[in-house]
Amino acid sequence: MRRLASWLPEWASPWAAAGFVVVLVALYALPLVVVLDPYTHGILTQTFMFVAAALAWNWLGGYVGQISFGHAAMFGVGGFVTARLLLSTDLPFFAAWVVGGLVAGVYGLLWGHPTLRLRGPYFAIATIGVGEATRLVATFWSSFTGGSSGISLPIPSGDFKQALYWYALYFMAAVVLLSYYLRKSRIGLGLLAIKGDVDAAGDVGVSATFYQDVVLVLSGIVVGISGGFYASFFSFIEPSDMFGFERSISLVLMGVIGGIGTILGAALGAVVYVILQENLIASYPDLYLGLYGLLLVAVILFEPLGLSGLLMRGARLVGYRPGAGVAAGGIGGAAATEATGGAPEEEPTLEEARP
Amino acid sequence: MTALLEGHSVSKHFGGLKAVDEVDFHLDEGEILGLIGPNGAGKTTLFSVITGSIPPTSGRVVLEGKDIAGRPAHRVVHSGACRTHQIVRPFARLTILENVVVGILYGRTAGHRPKTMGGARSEARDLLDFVGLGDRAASFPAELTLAGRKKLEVARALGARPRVLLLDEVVSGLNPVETQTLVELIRSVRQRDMSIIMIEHVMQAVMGVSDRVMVLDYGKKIAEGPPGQISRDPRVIEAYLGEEPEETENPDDGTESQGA
Ligand SMILES: Nc1ncnc2c1ncn2[C@@H]1O[C@H](COP(=O)(O)OP(=O)(O)OP(=O)(O)O)[C@@H](O)[C@H]1O
Ligand SMILES: [Mg+2]
Repeated sequence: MRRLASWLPEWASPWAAAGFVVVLVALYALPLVVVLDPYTHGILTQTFMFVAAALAWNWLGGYVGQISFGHAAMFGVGGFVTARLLLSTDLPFFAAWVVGGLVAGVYGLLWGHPTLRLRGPYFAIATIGVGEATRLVATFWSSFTGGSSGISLPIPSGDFKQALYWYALYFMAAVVLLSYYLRKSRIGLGLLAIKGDVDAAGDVGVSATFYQDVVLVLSGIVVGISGGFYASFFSFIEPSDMFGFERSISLVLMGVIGGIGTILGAALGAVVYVILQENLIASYPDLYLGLYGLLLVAVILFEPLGLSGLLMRGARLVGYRPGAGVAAGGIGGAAATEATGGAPEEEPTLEEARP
Repeated sequence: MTALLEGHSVSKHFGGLKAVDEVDFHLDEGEILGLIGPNGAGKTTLFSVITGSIPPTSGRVVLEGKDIAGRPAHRVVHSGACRTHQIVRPFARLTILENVVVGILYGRTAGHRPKTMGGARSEARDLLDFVGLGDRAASFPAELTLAGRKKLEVARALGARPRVLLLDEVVSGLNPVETQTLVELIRSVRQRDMSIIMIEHVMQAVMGVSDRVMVLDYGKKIAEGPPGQISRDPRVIEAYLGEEPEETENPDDGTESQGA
């Protein structure tokens, strides 16, 4: 363990690194060792992709505390740019994903730079507007998006579908690493400072404008790549699905179910979301959005840190005190304090001024 | 000789209210300047203008020859001026150590900060030792007493290694023993090649530490000079008596003075 530790950057915990490698190897080997039926294979592939997207949403929602209800905009831009590139150029598909992601990142910066100055509910409301406006434009711009009938890509070979599993896995692994880096490095501390108190952060030298823009671009790139991947996976995309409000909400849900602000949380949230999605859509096609709404309310009321909050409770029962990384999770405000055993919001009162 | 920090007719209006009204000031290298005045005199607002938290309505603020008025707060910090807050504003979800690490890693320009997180953390530990919070590094700010949180404000600002440190009522609301510790702390900060402006309501504290005192009332500078002279100045006495007799009280930040 110690040998391994000396190879790692100083912010990485050897145990987390070891766990990461073990999970990665297991998932890599899974389709080689076990014969997965195409349905399970596809669900796993999608899950990897959604884990990546949820983590990227979480950079903004969880690390910086800016809740976006408009990430479908980047998902859709990434998806359609990728699809158009695949149809009209000879670019290899992964290059098309990357270009789609980059365009989505630039698009994110375009609306994010002005709106990220807004904080809390104002930013969230602005993102709803951005998401819906983008959806409308995409629906009417049928020469690019195919309008309401969408666009189809050539049906891929079975081998390609098999390969997508591993591509999604690599993509997810890269995004997990980037999440970990963003969290643990100098940048992560600055983001948490911005989330905690944007003005006080400025007063000790943190440029909220710069770091929020950077995070939104990164988040947009990853969500855009997810969109491109989604296009390749389904070979058919249409604006109301790609840009729909449900798409944005799904990312919020994954973050909230799993526990906003934590890496494990976003990953768990995506897994649970896909499982629920598959089962609920099948059984209650008309009700599932309402059920998600109830779930959202329940999590926010009873366990603001979601599944990772539950895990932390369990951990505390056996005497483990969460570090700041976990305590810093939760949605803005005071919501998560009880659950983390961390700090209540500042109250400069005097009750304990006496020694 | 030009001063380290200079203000030229600095004004800040909130609608019709002239919170800071044509104030000229200067701070010399190595000096401690006391800034006093009744509640609502505009002291905190002047700090906010100097450090870029809010832009001035008019006037210039010059730090080491550079005009910093209207620059965003983070750039003022990088130019060398860092403030603390009258109502403490720790990052509640970060540990006490991490609060200071933010100051160290973000408060300085690229060439002057530690290269590694480990380096930053050990510097932060030194600073916490220096302000007397060494044993609280892993706790959260809410677990501190008010005095502790004020020390944390100071430690976080010191992390930025500013040329000019602006302290907004770090003593108010503390008991006499705590007041004494913080006054000692402020004195020792000067050894670190920093110049200080301190806002303070607790007269013993400000008069005891300052080289020079400046008095604001209704946004205007009404007096300036050595502490002994200021405490006898009839205009200053009137400004305070006209407001309220209890000069150590400071109801604005929800604290009651215990040093009275
Ligand atoms: N953001 C603001 N908007 C409107 N008015 C403000 C604002 N900030 C301060 N003021 C007003 O400006 C005046 C000066 O306030 P300031 O906080 O600078 O006083 P102060 O000298 O620091 O007082 P105290 O000793 O109570 O801290 C007050 O009348 C205050 O109400
Ligand atoms: Mg004040």
